[in-house]
Amino acid sequence: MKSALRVYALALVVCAALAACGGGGGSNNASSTPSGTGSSGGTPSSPSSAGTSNSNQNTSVPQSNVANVQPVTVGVSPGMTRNMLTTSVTICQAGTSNCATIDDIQVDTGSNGLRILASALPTGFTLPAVASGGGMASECAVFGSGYAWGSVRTADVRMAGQLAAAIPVHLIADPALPAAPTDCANAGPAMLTVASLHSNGILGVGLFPVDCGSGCANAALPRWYYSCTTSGTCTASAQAVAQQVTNPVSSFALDNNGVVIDLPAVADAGAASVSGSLIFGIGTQANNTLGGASVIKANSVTGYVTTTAGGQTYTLSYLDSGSNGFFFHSSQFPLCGIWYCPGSTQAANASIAGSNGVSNTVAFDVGNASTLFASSNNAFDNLAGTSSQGFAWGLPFFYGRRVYTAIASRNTAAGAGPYYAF
Amino acid sequence: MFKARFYPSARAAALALIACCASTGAYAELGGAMPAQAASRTILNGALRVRTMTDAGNTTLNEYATSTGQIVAYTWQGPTMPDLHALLGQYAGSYQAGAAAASANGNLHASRIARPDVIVESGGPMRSYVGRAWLPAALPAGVTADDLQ
Repeated sequence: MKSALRVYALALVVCAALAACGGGGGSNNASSTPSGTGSSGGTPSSPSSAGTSNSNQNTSVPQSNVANVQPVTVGVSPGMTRNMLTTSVTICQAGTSNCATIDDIQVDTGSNGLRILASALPTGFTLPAVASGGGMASECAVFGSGYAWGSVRTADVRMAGQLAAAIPVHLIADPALPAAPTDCANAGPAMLTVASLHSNGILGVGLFPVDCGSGCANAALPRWYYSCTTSGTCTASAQAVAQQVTNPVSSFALDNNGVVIDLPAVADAGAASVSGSLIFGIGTQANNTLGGASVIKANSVTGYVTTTAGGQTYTLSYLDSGSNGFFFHSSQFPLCGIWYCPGSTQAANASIAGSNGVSNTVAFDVGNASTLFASSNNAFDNLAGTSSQGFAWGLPFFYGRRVYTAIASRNTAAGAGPYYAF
Repeated sequence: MFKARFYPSARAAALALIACCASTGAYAELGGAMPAQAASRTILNGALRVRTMTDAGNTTLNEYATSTGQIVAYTWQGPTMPDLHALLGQYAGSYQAGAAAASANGNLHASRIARPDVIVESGGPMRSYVGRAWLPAALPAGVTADDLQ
């Protein structure tokens, strides 16, 4: 009835009060005490599996010696999508060794939660459904490129030596579900197949522990979570945070406060393939300390930081391994469709700033997208296109630098997330 | 304020109204008419009227209309994707045709479908959606897409 009241109010053409941008979506009280004074690097702690503190740092980030390096690659992807960062993820029936390893899962710091096409699982590999009301929990996961409709199920997720035990995962195009409800299908093109997803799924390892947050726990928002009955009716429903699709890293026992993506540099003309690492944890082992990285604090509700480039300020900015280019609005470069195609590669500069007042400069190039696409290379550090608002630092940003993504409210030596560091 | 008016017959009427408007959108659409009495503000020396709304998903929408009230653009920002199909109205089919023909070089967090009659840009990370849709042929003289924030 609460949502019906809201729709009725709108139907009477009452102009609602201007709401704060992004209000209602936050799931975390960023109230954890920032720990660790002084430099963001700190002295490396000796690895131990217990939650001991290094008294010199005055931190309480548990140290770990659990294997935390997950191989990631850029190569040929379905539909010749370039700059697709992918990895293989192992998913198991919870508490068992009955597992399946799924290749070609896109690594995405712009979303949170593991999503796998039902068709990519082995025949007969079943996972228990998460209940919602009297039916099955399901979700309309909406991206800029379209929607992925699927069931919410429980699974163990394993990567490197890590285990996320019995977490909610998203099973896209689950044949046990009815078709997507109208208000989900209205969100954009369908992403229910390998061809439309350009992958077998998405590993969301972004700034938040779950994909929606308290907004979905408190209300039955449209185009998020649904309850589907066996008779084939799906109704938008609230979903408790504990039952929302979960960023697997946030559920690891250790190494659970964020990730580091470490990719080598690529040449101007691109590379056919790139191999690098997705490292779990920030400052939990010798291989994931911040070192000299600048910590750029993100908005605790939206996750945005601010970019300044070409004399323009973009307040809706984010570091996104799931975007295949730099996306920002500029009148400086000619357009070929959505992509920029200057006659010759152009050098550019920008500054990325956080809510903590820290900023870091970035030198980047804008190449001719048509030339790049005409090549047989798949990894480009200079692929750029237009965006309506904001500045998305897509995968080109990640080549040749370590990029840290810290999860909201999780403690690190440089304070609690959410933040990016590079 | 509205709770006091919810006696049973009004509730039934309200539910009927919701059923009606849930299918067509609780507010107007591209190419439609901004209600004359809507609390809007003018920008660009009166070339555009804009009103700001919050939808059922807590997302903020700006609705832009010409001085005669024809809705020519929407911009949005918030934790839930708006009902794009409802906002596009008669232009939803054109958008869907464009999306179906879109290049394979798509990516998760940014899309731009440009048709002669409607342009839709949609993106942002999950839970921080941002985008805009407009009728390029209907923007008043002197107004460009850059003016749509």
